[in-house]
Amino acid sequence: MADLPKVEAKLREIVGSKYVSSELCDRLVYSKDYSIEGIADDYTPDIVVKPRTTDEVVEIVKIANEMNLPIYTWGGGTSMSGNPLAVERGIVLDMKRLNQVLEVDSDNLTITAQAGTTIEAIFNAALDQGVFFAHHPESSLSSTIGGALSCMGISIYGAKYGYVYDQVLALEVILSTGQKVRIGGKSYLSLPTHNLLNLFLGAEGTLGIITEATLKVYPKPLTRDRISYGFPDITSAIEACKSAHAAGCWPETVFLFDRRSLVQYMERAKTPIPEEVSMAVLFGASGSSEMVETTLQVIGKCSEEQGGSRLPEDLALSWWNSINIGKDNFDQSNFALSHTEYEPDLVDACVPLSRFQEYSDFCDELKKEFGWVDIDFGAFIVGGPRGPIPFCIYFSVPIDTRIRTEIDKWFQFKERMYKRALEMGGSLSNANGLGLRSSPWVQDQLGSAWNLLTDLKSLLDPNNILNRGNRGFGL
Amino acid sequence: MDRLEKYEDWARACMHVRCGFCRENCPAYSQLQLDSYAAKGKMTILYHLLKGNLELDEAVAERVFACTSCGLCDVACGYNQSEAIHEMKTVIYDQGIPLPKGYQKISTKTRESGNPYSSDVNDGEAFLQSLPESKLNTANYTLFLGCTQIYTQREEIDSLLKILRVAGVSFRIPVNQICCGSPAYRVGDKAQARIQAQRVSKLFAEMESEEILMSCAGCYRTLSYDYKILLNEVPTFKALHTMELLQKLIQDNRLKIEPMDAIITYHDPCHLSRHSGIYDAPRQILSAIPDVKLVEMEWNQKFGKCCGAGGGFRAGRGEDAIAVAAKRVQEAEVTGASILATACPFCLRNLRDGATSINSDIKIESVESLLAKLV
Repeated sequence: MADLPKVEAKLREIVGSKYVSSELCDRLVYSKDYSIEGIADDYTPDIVVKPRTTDEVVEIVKIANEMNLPIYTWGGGTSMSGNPLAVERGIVLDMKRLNQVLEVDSDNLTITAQAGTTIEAIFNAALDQGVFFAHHPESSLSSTIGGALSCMGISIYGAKYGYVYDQVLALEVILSTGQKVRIGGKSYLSLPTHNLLNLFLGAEGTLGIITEATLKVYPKPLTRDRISYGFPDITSAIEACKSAHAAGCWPETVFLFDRRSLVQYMERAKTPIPEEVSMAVLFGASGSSEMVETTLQVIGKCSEEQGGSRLPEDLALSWWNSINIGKDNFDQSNFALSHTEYEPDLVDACVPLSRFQEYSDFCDELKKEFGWVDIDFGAFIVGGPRGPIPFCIYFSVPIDTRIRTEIDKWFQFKERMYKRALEMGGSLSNANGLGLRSSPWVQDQLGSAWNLLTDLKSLLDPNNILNRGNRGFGL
Repeated sequence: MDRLEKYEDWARACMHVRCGFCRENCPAYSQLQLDSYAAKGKMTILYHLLKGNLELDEAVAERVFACTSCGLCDVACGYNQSEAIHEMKTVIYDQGIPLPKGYQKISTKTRESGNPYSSDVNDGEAFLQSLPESKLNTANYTLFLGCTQIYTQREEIDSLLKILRVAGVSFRIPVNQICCGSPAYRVGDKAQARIQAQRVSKLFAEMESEEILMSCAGCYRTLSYDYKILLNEVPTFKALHTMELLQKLIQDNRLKIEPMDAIITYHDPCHLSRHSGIYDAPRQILSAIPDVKLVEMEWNQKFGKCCGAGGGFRAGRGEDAIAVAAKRVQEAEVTGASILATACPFCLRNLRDGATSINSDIKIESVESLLAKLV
């Protein structure tokens, strides 16, 4: 058992008293992310510390390692899978004071920022220098780049530019011993040997703490526009996407929402949705006006050939506005809305492309079995990072967390969903990280690779201080 | 705690979603840095208070009171978090939890002297009685001068009076100096705020005043929106802010304005803008000055950032409030403006102190003082 007052005193010496707290009212704020896992149990840390510099992070990690105290790295706290929750209490390391954009190199198309910088700040810093940073989730205003690199998440521009992982050229990482490591550089070929970046990307802070990243930026597209199409089912929508890919289209936005999801996203704008729409696709294109016009025209043709019907322009615009949330329109976000009676958690398992429809049907049947029919969010499918072809499907499931039995049912439901995904040759995670939500089945999925992963964990974090108890480690 | 039950839904919604959009622009969080100081943190505290996981104590009070009541969190959230936070303040106050020192002083001084500055009311009333309009028995408007202007910014009153007189506005001034109750209310002292509201309402009733004109954004918000809560009834009078009247006077060509070659930017006082919806009038007044170029700060109107003075923050955390103001001044400097105009005595003072703290050359002026020099 660590001597917490002693740890706290040492932390105060490092970062100053203002940035350390063991007050319960401060700690509780860091006990819940955007997941039901966070409300189902107590994940209140012992101490919260908020450093300003990488060197301070180094000192904090050294102390945690010496005192054998787990350390949970937090960014904006917008993660959706219980990724940073303090499973075994210990220290929450709030990275949001490491919030500087260090350099925008528009000649070499790179931007370098500290891990606690909000994605919106990076996005706008790039635009100020005439270049474009392509990772832009709905949470950009408050989520941090370190959090995104650790937990993933989707971008509205992902179909053209890829995952947030795909934007990374270099990282600065603090290992569990306090050793500072830099991997990669500004050149696009800065990795002469094994791609060590991948040890830390999406690792949710279990192998090291990302403190700085050099990221790709792109020439700013001249224009962008979008259209949306309605389809009778998932399969025909995916066929349209494949057809658009075959035709050479490379849109930047490909979002597929089923009717229930679309209703949710139209809630603020109150834009009507045509009756016949079962599955809708938002295609966005960027580039010169000729390129955008041609791309959308060809996508339209491909969609109509697959039975799609063009949706009204005001719906496409409302849809775009509801996912393109930034500093000038954050009052239009769907995040708050009226989620007072239920918490919309996700099943984030992925299955092979040809089985999206089957998995979605299974989800619908299972929801009925669990009695969740009155309030129901639906399926989301996202394109990228391979152009218009969708890569992931996830399901929003509203749970009334005021009722303990409903929370228990959620755990039973997600187990059925994840096990089914694995049976179908799928995966536990696609867009929102593994976290506590999906980790119970990680060994099942990894099979023989699990030992390799635990060996790596033991090597890099011998005292298991980093995000202890999460992602299946220590189960 | 019963009074907080009605916000349980909002707190739970915040616990669900955790978007944190309220955090990045929160003036208290920008200074104090732990998530508990942002609205998200305070709603989390509320959630756990209602769940019984947390007790009301001095630490909780310190977090909850660190709120400027600016309401930018409400814009981000969709729920009026600032309303819930204010109610938390009143509950903390009523339960006798020790308040952070500076906040308590506002309440104590208002209770003891009738105003939050502990100024001599006789002095205030002597000043009011020295104004010729206090001798009038009837007029179209009753000009209610706030204690902040009476005791700390009389030159601002001079400016306003000059404009009203030049335009030939029919107005009279009460001889009694009574604080509207806003400062006490913002620090949770609802009982004293109610007493002040009753006094002010009685004064207007005795004067048979229906159209109440005021220049203080805090008074305006309080009389317009809070009195019906404090008095449990809709007041019989109608509140009008001087920005609305001056805009109308200009529209009706009742003011001849000399030109001024200047670039001006305008800071929206939270009480006047987000709380009351008055965005256009001050901008139209400034735009009506010949040769003035009005430019906007990056964060403006409904997204306008707070100066840091509200909700008792200036009294409770003076250095932090001035630091918040300094950041706002820096945003104004980026526009290239030489003048930062505003329409609230609290913003005026705090922005000036913020500018001084960073040796800024930008001039901080009220819309009224700018206009008064040109009519």
